[in-house]
Amino acid sequence: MENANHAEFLQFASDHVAPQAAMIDRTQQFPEQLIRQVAERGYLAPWLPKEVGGRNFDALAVGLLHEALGAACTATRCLLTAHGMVALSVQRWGNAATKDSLLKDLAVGKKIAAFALSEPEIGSDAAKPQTVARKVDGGYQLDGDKHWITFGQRADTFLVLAALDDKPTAFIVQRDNPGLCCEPIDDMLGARGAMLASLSFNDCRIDANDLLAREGLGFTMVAATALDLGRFLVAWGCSGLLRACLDATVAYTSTRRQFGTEIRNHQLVAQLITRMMTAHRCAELLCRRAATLRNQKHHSAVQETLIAKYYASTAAMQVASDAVQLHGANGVSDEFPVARLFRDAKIMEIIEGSTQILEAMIAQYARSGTGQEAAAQSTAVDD
Amino acid sequence: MADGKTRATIREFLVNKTRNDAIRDDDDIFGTGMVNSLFAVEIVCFIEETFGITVENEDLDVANFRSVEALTGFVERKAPTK
Repeated sequence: MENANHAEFLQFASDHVAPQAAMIDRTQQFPEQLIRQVAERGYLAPWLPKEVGGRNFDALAVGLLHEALGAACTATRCLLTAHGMVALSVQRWGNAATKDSLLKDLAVGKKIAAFALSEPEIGSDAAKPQTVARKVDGGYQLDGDKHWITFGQRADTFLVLAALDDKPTAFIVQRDNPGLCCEPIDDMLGARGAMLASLSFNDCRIDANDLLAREGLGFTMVAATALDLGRFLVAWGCSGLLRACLDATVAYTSTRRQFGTEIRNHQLVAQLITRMMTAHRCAELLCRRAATLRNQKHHSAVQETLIAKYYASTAAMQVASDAVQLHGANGVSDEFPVARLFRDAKIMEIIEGSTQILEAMIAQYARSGTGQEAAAQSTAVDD
Repeated sequence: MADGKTRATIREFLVNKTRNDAIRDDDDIFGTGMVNSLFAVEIVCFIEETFGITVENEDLDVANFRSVEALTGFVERKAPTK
């Protein structure tokens, strides 16, 4: 099953996504046709059951899809990640009414979703939103601002974290709500096609059924579950980005000649390529380990996903830097893809848990008994 | 799974997780400061994986998860025949 799916993902990425990546990066606009294409293939939330429009993929297949898209176009991978985080939240923590009204629309792309967690003054400390929710007759009222919201320019549906009686609580808000205003954010360093937006909520009234999970559990359950998926998907995307850097560099150094030979034949160039290839393989193995644990529903999957995301994102930054270096001046031009990959790689070290936040969390895991237990069992994990 | 074994299994996980074998059955795990923001997700994974139950939206009450005692009661109510 893995090979059949992976071949399908790679073909789709090669035929429909990669040819548009430079244009998406340059124009900072994401084509509607590409959204339709990923939706038609059931890629938007592919772990969902087929009866609601998903493809019933296991964690490895979902990861391989994000690997293929991460190599081809970070913006496309971002679309699937942000949308998927909301779809999982609705699947896992939505009430019956929310699931009935939303889950199929999210699975088939009738609605595109965005995850509204960050705020102008709230980043890593996301459990303390300054956006406020108040109980009103029949539901809730939201007031406040969200920032850096991936695909916020395009999304039809938002998952919003707000403080209800000072407790983080998750809500669903539709774009056509008159109390919601969206403004584009342009000219980011990387992931420039991810259609970022800032959101303003002013007397934004929503129905009582638009609550996800329970009041006060918006971070510990909803956001934590969604971010766990997000880290898993970003890690796989980074593995793809690593592969793209390696492939581009091997191709370039095999044709570029200096000092009478292809530059791949120079030992210091070969050393960097060796490091790039090794980093790619390590990242992929950590991602596969996380996927296997997720398929087993093992409790260590959450923490092992942290490690995969941490390693893959930091390796992606280093490898993208090396790829640019080996391309010389061509590497910082828009004639070759590595400049875009380099800019995109930096974003991966920031989103879904910055490198420094992950380092603190992984160290805590290492000190715990479950971390040491997982390390002892690491050789037993086999997909 | 009989109550005693359920309790022992949950206790072993939490002791292992927090590296604190002095945890009492009614200690508030979330209040120990020994766990991070992922702990709730890990607890849900552990409960579902170990006892073969699904934590539903209506089960989402911190009171179900905050201690060995609470978790044992929750698992026994959710899967009384296990």
